[in-house]
Amino acid sequence: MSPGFIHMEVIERRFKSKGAAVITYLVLALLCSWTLGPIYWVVVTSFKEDKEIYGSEATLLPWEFTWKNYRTILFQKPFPNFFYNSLRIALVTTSASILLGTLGAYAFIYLHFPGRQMLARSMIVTYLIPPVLLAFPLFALFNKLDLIDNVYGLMLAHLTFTVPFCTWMLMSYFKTVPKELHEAALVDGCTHLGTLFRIIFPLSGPAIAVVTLFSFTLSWNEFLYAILFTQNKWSQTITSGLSSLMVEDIFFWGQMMAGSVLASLPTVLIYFLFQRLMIKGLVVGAVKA
Amino acid sequence: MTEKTFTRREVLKQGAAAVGAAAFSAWTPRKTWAKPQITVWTIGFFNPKADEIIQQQFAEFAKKANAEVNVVIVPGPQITRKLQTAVEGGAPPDLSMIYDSDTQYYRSIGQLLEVTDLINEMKKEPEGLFPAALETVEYEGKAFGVPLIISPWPLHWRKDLFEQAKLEYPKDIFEFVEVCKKLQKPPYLYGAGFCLGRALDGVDNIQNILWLFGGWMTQDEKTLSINSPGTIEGLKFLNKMYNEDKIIPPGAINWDDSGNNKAYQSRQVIFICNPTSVYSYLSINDPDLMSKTGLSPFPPGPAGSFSLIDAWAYGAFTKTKEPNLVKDAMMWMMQPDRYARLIEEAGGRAVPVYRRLTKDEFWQQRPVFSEFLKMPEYGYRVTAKSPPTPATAEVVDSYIIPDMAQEVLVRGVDPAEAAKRAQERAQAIFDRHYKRG
Repeated sequence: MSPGFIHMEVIERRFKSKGAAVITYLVLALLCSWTLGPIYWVVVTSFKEDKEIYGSEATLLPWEFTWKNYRTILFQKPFPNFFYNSLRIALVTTSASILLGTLGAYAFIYLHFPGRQMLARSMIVTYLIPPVLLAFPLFALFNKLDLIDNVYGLMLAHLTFTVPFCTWMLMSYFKTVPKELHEAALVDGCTHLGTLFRIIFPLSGPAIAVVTLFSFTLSWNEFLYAILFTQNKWSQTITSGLSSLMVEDIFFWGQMMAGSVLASLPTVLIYFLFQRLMIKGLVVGAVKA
Repeated sequence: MTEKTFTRREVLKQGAAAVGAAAFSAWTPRKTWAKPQITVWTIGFFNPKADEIIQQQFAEFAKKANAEVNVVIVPGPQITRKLQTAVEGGAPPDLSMIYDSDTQYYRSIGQLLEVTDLINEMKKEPEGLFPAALETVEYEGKAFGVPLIISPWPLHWRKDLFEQAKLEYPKDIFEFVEVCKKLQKPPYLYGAGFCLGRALDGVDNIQNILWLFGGWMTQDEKTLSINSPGTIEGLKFLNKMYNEDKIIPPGAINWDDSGNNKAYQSRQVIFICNPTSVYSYLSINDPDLMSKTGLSPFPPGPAGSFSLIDAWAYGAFTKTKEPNLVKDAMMWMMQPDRYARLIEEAGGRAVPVYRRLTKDEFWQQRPVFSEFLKMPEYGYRVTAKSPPTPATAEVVDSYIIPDMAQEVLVRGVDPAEAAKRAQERAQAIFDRHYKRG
């Protein structure tokens, strides 16, 4: 039985009268337009000429449909390079976050060592520190390590917020895995690493999916470090690259919107493909801390 | 047919290989430079050709000096934040274009090289440099940068609407209001597209109106004068324009630096006060509107006629390992003939710092710029009557002036009370800088 079918049944049971159902759907439609409206505006604007964008009338559809903005950012600006950099950074950050997060979460849940509770709590505290507070110290550190203005510096910077996030999410999920499985593996001679990667990790598919998606999205959308730690167009990411379309006090809205549409494609695609796994991961316990 | 299956181990191996490849695919070891090298940050001009010329001129310098010059074009809205981070992090560029009073800020914290010798050379040019340009970089007789451009803020206005209505350009600020009321057709067309938001354009636009009534931010370098009868009168007038005459778009209260540009470019306002970046935009994207646009000074108020200017400079940072090379690069770029090419390619975006260059053919052929070129002689910095200083820079960047105006326009606070509160906030900044109280 599909989740959609279940929802229908629930709604029909809950709303005996058609009127109530109509109102429910109207509210849902309103919420959908609230959510999708800005996205629609971004997409439509990306196909408009500058003159129309700056026109005195707001148009729901382009008067003259144009690919000019896409052509400009793809062939006259280093946008493909921004895209490539963002992809590399997000992939490496996500992989490293899952690896480190899994090891960390396992240690906090299954190993007993002094200060375990305090360390576990400090993980969430580090996640709560606003990135802007870390910007200057990180810049100074990366400068000493010759990591300014290259993608490796950004990969390390992104790990400062993705690792605590992944660890915390996975800790919540690992708590729901029966301890007996862990103990049985150890009794049968498995090492801790073996237990983690042969028993716990395979059982944590939905949670891994959730942290993968969130880490990827966090890294992909990150703006502050990208803008501060990169300087030339060969090391910039999509987010910092898009902001270079603001020249003096004039913003190239058409090109920015076209860039935003392209920049959102990977995350939209990933969410679209893995949404069921994600919902399962969220519901099963990944965020039940 | 056999079905290919993957074990978990194989999937993990291949995934790791893919990520590794992605991470290091473009890895190249850092080059060991045999030549001396410097990094230069430039602020992106609206006209990409101007950026190209800057890069080309630095490349020519690099060839001549047998050095490596790495030019990074930083978008205008990012430069302040990037420079602050780089300075705090101990890794500023060797040379950078710097906005207006930020030059004095970096000078005050010991970040800029003294370049008085360069300025003395530049002053030898016939007719010398505009004093407004020198004010940006000089402190106690020494120079800590070379002035790059002067950026006047004329009123951009719709000549065509005036011609259609057979009206003359307003003789004073009161006539300005009447003209706006006659010509505007709200909500489609408003008279005065003044930025009133928490943005630098907001500070500049509001302060320009306060000047007309005698309201100055400072009396001198160490004395604030926000809380003055002039400011209070100016606030009352601004309130009248916004709430009674309704000649300013209601949304202007939330505009950022691009708000007035957008309003004018979309033909929704008759007047805006802005640097000529708008004019540069129109020259490329909307020549029709450009031909209908006039550039004029602010109409006078009871206290006189006042127009705003700002200036950019080149600053060499003390951390540079190549101070002589950096200074040579600055002089190379400011060599008048070479510099004139950049200014002309920028297409009227700014006035050159050398007085004599304003008489070049490029400017003489464009009568629309006639008043614009005079503005550096009589224009004021937003921080007037003080020159730009670190303390005034902080007052400007704290948006105390827009906050004061918004208290009156939006919250209905009495102008005298708003001016008093603004002065107190600014005074706390001055006290910290000058270690009083």
